[in-house]
Amino acid sequence: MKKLQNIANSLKPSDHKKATLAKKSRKFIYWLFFAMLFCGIGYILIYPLIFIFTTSIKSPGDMLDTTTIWVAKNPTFANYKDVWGFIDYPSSLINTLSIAGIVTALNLFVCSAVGYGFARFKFRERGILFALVIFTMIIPPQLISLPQYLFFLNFDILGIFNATLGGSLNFNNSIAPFILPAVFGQGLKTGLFIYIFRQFYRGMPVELEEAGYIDGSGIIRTYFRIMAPNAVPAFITVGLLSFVWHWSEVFNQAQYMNESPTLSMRLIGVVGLITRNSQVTDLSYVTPAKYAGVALVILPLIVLYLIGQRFFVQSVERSGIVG
Amino acid sequence: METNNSERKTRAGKAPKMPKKTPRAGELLRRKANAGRIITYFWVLGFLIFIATPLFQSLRYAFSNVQISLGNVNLIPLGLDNFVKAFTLDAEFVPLLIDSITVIIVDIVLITFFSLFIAVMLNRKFKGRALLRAVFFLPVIITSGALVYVMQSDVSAQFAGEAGQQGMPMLQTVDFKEMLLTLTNNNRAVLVLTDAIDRVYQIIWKSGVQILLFIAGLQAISPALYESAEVEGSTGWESFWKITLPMISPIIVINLVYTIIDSFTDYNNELLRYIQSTAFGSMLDFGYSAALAWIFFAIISIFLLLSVGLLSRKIFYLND
Repeated sequence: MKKLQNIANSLKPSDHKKATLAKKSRKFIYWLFFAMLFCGIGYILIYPLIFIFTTSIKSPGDMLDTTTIWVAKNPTFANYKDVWGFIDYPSSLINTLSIAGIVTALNLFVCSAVGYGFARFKFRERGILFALVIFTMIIPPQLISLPQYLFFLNFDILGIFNATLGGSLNFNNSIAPFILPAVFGQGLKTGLFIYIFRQFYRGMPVELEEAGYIDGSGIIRTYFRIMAPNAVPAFITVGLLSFVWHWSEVFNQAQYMNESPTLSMRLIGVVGLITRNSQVTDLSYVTPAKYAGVALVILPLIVLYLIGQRFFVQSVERSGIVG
Repeated sequence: METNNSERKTRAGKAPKMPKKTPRAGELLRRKANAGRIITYFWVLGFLIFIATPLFQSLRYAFSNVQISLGNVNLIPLGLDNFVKAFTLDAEFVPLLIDSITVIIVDIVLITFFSLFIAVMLNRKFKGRALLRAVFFLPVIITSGALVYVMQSDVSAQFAGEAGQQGMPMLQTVDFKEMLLTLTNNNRAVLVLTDAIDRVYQIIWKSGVQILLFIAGLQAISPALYESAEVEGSTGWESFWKITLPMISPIIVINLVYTIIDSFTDYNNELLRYIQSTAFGSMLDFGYSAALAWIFFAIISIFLLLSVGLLSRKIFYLND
């Protein structure tokens, strides 16, 4: 075989060289095309971040200076300091953190168990119940927001609280409307989380569990000792998504947290807060201050992403979200 | 243990020819089924309390005039009045509905094509892939309707023009838009197109999860398929249409559903903001708001069912 090739090469040396050259140049053009494409799209993706951070440190003079676009001539951190107070950062952060943190923990615990229930236990009505999970995914939250609001305003289950406490409970302006549904595996995009966990558990080998059962461990123990530790990628994926989505969700938070605003609510009304608190309506001050506020809100997420990015990318790829 | 034993005996008595193993295996299966029922019915309980009940109530609200005083809800039945009002009297609702639905449909098409293209590219092996992926999944983490909303309002502020400060460069297609409009004699279809161009950066920012889903799907395709295709002399182009696309087709449906549900929590969706404001804003018309939400939900569900129904004929499942 080799001999034949050698003979062929010696017969047409120029052709062979041409072929490799053509191949190489084609490869280079290919590479150039993708390099340009990805640089372009990468720019669009990073652009808002650069825009936010460069704008946020500009002084009013820089905003009015037409020659200053990216790099501020007189960078100032006063914007951050001002906005920190205007949006009442510490207390807003605590409000957001308490919602996002607690709900994420509950989502991880409950949705993983429910997903496991759908993945590994066979019973007759399983298909119908899982169809219900899918159904919850396509209901717009606005559809049920009002009855839910009234439900939490006069919280009572079967008249129990009315009988014992002499009145129903008012859960408005508390984080209970976020936590109570999460206890039962309901809430923002939980259908998707259950789906992710179900797919992941379905993809795990049955032998793992069987080994546990044969060694005499019960269902609960098998789950916590064998299945859950092997599903870490799915846990990281769902944990990150749930945390981030609760961090930036606005509709529900604006509805229930009226008196104790969260970061995302502050973000929506940031311009109003700045002008009201500083008594300045000049855009050369308001715009940088606004972006300082935006930066403060998304900074924790960026840090989180930089830390968890590697796990996250791998985990989603491996979690087999796909059927 | 005793009950287990007795159960085994009675079973063995009924079917003496069964091998000894079966009752135990059946036992475990039954126990597992019950465990599964306990877990999933716990979820169903939550579904009944937090989803089904409010859903039923909002349906009742949609057909009545809701009056709330001191937390007491009074329903005055109106029949179809709320729905009639939405389509005949409300000047804002129908345009918002049409806009919102066209935006969702255009988004679905663009996001699906874009994310599939990017996923196929990112699935190749090359240097710096890890970095690129980190950049492409950035939107998954940081994207939020609130953020886009805040940045958008900056662009509409005229400050951008006055101080020579740049807003979003993607949004500055005004001249191009006017040129197209004059060329086509103010055709509305052009507006859909130019709006899509205006929202290019939004669409790219919205595609993060979809790209992830596609990459996960691409990695599930066995390389053996491509190898054998290559041996048979198939080009990359042919492999894409004959292998990649059929194998990835189920994910297209998942992405479609995801894109729609993603728009439900998007603060940029003007229709949803309007629905929310009719209930909690100045109007305080809860029944009307519920009716609007149901109209939107019904249209989206019909669209979803139709598209999934149409696509499902084309979907290819390897295991079937």
